[in-house]
Amino acid sequence: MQSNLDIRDFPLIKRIRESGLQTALLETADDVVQRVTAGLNIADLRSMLRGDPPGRPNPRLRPHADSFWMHMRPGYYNQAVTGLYPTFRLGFLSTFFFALEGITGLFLMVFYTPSTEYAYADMLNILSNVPLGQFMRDLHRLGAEAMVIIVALHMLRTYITASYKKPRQFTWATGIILLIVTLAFSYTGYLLPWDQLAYWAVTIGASMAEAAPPPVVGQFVNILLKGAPDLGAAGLLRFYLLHVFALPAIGTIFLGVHYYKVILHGHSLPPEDEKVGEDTAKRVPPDVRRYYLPDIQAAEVLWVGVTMLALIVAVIFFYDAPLENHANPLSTPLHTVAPWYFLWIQGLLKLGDKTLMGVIIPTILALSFLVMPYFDVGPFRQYGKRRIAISLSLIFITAIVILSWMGTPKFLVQTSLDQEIFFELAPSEKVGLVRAVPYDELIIGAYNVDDYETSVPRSSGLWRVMRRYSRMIEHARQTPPEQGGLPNAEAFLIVEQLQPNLKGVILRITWDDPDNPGERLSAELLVPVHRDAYPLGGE
Amino acid sequence: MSENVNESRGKTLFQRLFTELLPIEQRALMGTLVFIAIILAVGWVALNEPRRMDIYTAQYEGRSIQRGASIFVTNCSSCHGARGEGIAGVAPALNTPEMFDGTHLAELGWTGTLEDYLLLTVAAGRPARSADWPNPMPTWSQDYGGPMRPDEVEDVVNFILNWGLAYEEGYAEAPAEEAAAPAAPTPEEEEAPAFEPVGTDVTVALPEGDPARGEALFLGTESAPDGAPLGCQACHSLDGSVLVGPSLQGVASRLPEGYESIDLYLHEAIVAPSAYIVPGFEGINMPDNFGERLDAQSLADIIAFLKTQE
Ligand code: HEC
Ligand code: HEC
Ligand code: HEM
Repeated sequence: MQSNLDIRDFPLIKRIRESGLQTALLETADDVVQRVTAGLNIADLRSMLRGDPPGRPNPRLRPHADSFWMHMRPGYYNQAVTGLYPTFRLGFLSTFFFALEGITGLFLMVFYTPSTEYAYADMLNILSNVPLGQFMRDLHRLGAEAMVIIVALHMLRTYITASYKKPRQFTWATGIILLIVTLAFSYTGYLLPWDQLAYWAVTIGASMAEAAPPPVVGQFVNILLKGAPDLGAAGLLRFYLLHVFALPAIGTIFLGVHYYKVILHGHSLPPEDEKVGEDTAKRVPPDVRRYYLPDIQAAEVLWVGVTMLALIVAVIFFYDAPLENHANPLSTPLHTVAPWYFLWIQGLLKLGDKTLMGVIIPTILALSFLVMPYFDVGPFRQYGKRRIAISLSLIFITAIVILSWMGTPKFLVQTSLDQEIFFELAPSEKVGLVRAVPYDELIIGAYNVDDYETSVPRSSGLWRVMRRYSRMIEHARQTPPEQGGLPNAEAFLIVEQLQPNLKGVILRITWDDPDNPGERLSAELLVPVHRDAYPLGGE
Repeated sequence: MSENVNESRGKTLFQRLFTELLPIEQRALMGTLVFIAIILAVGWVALNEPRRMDIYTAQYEGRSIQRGASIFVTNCSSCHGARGEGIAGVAPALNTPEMFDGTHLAELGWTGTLEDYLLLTVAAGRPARSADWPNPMPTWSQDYGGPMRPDEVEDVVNFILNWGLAYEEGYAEAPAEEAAAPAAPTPEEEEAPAFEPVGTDVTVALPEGDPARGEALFLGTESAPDGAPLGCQACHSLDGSVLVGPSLQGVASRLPEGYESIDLYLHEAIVAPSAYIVPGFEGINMPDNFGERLDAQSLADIIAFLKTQE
């Protein structure tokens, strides 16, 4: 029977018949490579890797015309912007983190349910039961924090090199949107584990929504964000949807616009290379062209590799994403703080009222950043001519750092010293000193802070705890009662065996009641410590 | 690349990094090394995963038992004793060998696991008072209207289960170490003098009360004269939400009919709770042993505190 499918018509077979096996295979491989690279053959690739100059016409420009991803990238850069300076690759790294968060986030999403009932249990499952679960979670969280820093630095560098000036005003404005999106990503993600850390940090921030003036608007925004007056199931779902749907969508759109504008105007040259008022970024003389293929691309791949390796090393040796106890709306841990990138707002809040400091000032700040390039229209980009602008940025950074410090509990927080002491020795949500003592070194007994030197062996981890305890008690005895002091304080640490593998450390302080002479006040905290709970003696 | 090399003359490596790209061969080499390092690192992490997950699980269970211990002290020890040894006439012991060797479950005719039995008992409580005990076991899980989240119920059950370890073969930690307890008297012994219970007679005169101490007693931040926290806040909120018992928000301003004064009513509500049952709480009982656990001063303090809840 005659088939119209003749094996001899297959291109590969035909080639073999025409030019022999070896040539045919090489030609086919060449074909495949050319398709995959949208225009480059094996010889082109090899010459690129050898560092040969391109031919004329440059075959390495072909993919920029034919490939979707490559058509977004310029065919060549000006030599002056290809070093570390002036971009420091910060824009590229911001994009890298955006992608990394997307990928690791997708992994976590598979194992996560946005409900108050399951969210926390799902986190535990990711950590205890999903291979590479902790690794991915740590990467996602560390990546998020790094991204905030990188994006902020990118903004700082475009400010310092005055790259926001004409014609790049709009690039800057879309950048501000991307900054807000980045912060919103971090912040909405913060809530998702539904632990005490998440719940209370986000509660502090979300209470700001309520303060938006006038009250009707505040209430509306609050309900819109949380779905109920208090943070609960509806709020968690909304934060989740913002985090995995709305923000990625907004971010992708604005990243597209942002990068389109970057290409449209060309990367701004180092300020000292330009004459005042000129912008020659788009005119790249042939002798200073650096082609994207292979030079820029190889640089980018290397940067991805180095950054990735740095993150992985950090995650393996230095960084563990925190997970505290299950969120509990009824118990506020002492000293709850906002995530570090919002500490400056918490600092502002200590200076004045919520509406002004928490809503009006940050909003004005964001708006003025957004429109800044349309007002700062001076033609100078040279550093020497922008002394005021550059000083302003330094002042601004200093202010943010000081405000952030003021946002921490170190500044202007008054609690009674007994609670401070308990917090230092055994905070409700962190490991603290007591729990870090190896289980076997918790020796059963009752110890007085005033004679621990004789009753606790120096070799026991307990000794360090007692030393800290006794110093804090000494300080509390000296402090006047109006400032939370504990006159004539007596303090004990008692270790008892509660159960197999479970010891109870009781901290107990008594002191004179300043209001009722002759009476004593007391405070007590039980800290159960299980043998397996702190395998590394710490986190 | 040749122009590049010319330009590079006379620059330090740092200057070169700063202003230009390194030669592509160098970058290709570095890139390859970096990616090999990444693959090795991730592979190493992956190989260690089973061990890491085991440690994490053990750690989590340990922490669950720790949390369970705290929950037990605030919510359960007032009936079941500080160490689960039970209190005669109030609630049974939970740490007996029979609980863990199957005898107790067999007596009850329970065929499931001990863990399930405990989870169910603690979560749902007992629907009614049994012949043996004056008050039934309260409901604890929010699923059934109690005050605790399901994961907290699991924590406290893990804590109870941990007593069972003591009866397993080869376990010897507790006795050995307890024997080595120091001679120094614990401050608990020093400072908890024998006290005189106020009793259930509502006609006894009470001293002047201190609301601040009453609040501490109520919240359990200060222990009752018998050394254990009272656990009022386990059943009563102060913010209007109903836990096991009615919220005590506004209790000072809702004197039921037939009582002369709020002092008398509160006195009776605490030491003889079944004399008057708050409407809607019929069948749910407040423990009736507070008369034995409080001295006159402590009772007066709590009443003074409750009177501030207007
Ligand atoms: C008001 C006092 C009271 C409190 C508070 C209380 N219980 Fe109970 N519990 C009882 C009584 C009474 C029983 C016996 C009920 C019965 O057999 O009908 C009981 C029974 C139990 C049982 C079953 C014991 C057995 O022998 O089968 C368990 C388990 C238990 N309680 C755990 C707890 C836990 C955990 C808590 C704290 C979250 C707690 N209880 C708090 C009174 C109390
Ligand atoms: C095991 C749960 C439980 C504990 C623990 C408990 N109560 Fe109650 N309490 C109840 C219940 C249930 C009622 C309602 C039934 C009744 O009136 O007896 C109630 C009623 C009351 C009332 C009357 C409330 C009203 O609205 O008129 C007062 C007052 C009160 N309790 C005080 C206390 C104090 C003080 C403590 C701590 C010393 C305490 N309770 C501990 C369960 C508890
Ligand atoms: C998710 C956040 C962001 C991403 C992914 C991103 C990405 C990029 C990239 C890839 C470039 C080109 C390379 C470079 O200059 O480093 C760029 C340039 C630029 N970005 Fe961003 N950016 C982000 C946020 C911002 C922010 C917050 C600002 C400032 C408010 C900003 C302002 C600019 C400006 C002005 C340029 C032009 C620089 C020039 O031409 O020299 N960007 N951005």
